[in-house]
Amino acid sequence: MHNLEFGIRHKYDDSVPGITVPVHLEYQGSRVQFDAKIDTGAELCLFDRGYGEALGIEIESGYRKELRTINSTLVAYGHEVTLSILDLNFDLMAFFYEAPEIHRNVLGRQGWLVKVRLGVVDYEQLVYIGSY
Amino acid sequence: MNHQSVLNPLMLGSPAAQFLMSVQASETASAPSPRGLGTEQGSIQSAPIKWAPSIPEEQYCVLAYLQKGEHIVSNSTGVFVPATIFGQTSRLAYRIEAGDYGPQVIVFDERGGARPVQSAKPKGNHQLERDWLSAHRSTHAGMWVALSGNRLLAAGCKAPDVYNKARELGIPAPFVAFVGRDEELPFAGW
Repeated sequence: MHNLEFGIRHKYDDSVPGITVPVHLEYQGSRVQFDAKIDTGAELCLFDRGYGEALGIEIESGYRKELRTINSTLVAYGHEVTLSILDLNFDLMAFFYEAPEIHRNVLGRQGWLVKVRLGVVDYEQLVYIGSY
Repeated sequence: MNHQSVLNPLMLGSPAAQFLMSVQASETASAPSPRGLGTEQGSIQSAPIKWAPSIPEEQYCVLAYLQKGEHIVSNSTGVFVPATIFGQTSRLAYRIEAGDYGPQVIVFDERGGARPVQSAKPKGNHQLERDWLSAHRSTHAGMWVALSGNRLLAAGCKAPDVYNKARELGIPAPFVAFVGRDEELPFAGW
């Protein structure tokens, strides 16, 4: 038997696809709120470039990264931001899509998943999160 | 049961809203705070009622937030709450506390015991915003929107413009979303 302890339990909305959690993104004092999906299959935290632009980030000035998707590739740019998820704060390099038509916001491994302990009981729409 | 309610701005913004209850700012026994951020509180005395259709009691349990200075009236006389929310005879209390969108007035019914009613929609989970997006997807598809609860703050084609408009309205960290046309489709994964 293995036991884990989590500081946060969140009931997510099963009326929308994916495991959705509310996030705050902060960059140089500007903050924006939106929803993001927990995605253990994503290597990075990836966000719509619109959020970066809203916060005053010059997207293409960041660390360029080419990523593989299920049937294609895409480019994203990394910037140091602060991400708050359910009262947990993370300083990380978040990536913003180069393509403006990509709107999916995902919380992936680097920068986020690696810093937490995560539990999911999907039958009850419950996600458990604790700082690692 | 302590009926605690944080009111929905949209409910108060409706033309039918009647501001009939006067709130006398005075010290009173503290009610359980759902968030532990209480900064100011007082009791409410019912004023003479002109018209106040009551709402079903189960609706008292639904949490929503009021923006101070917007739909709830707060001045030197007191705080005025629409009687459409609590009915005619409720004894109300209020508390002003810091919230995600600025100062918020939380109004609650003092009847009964001390056990707080749990919110069906916990704070900060963007449920109201998602409800708005779901209801308005057809009319705002392809646009960026900024929301405060289920209230539209700004809409447009560019996220920075929408964000800045919401900030100009005094919202320090607005909820912003792109209204996709195909959000209801299941995602295949990466």
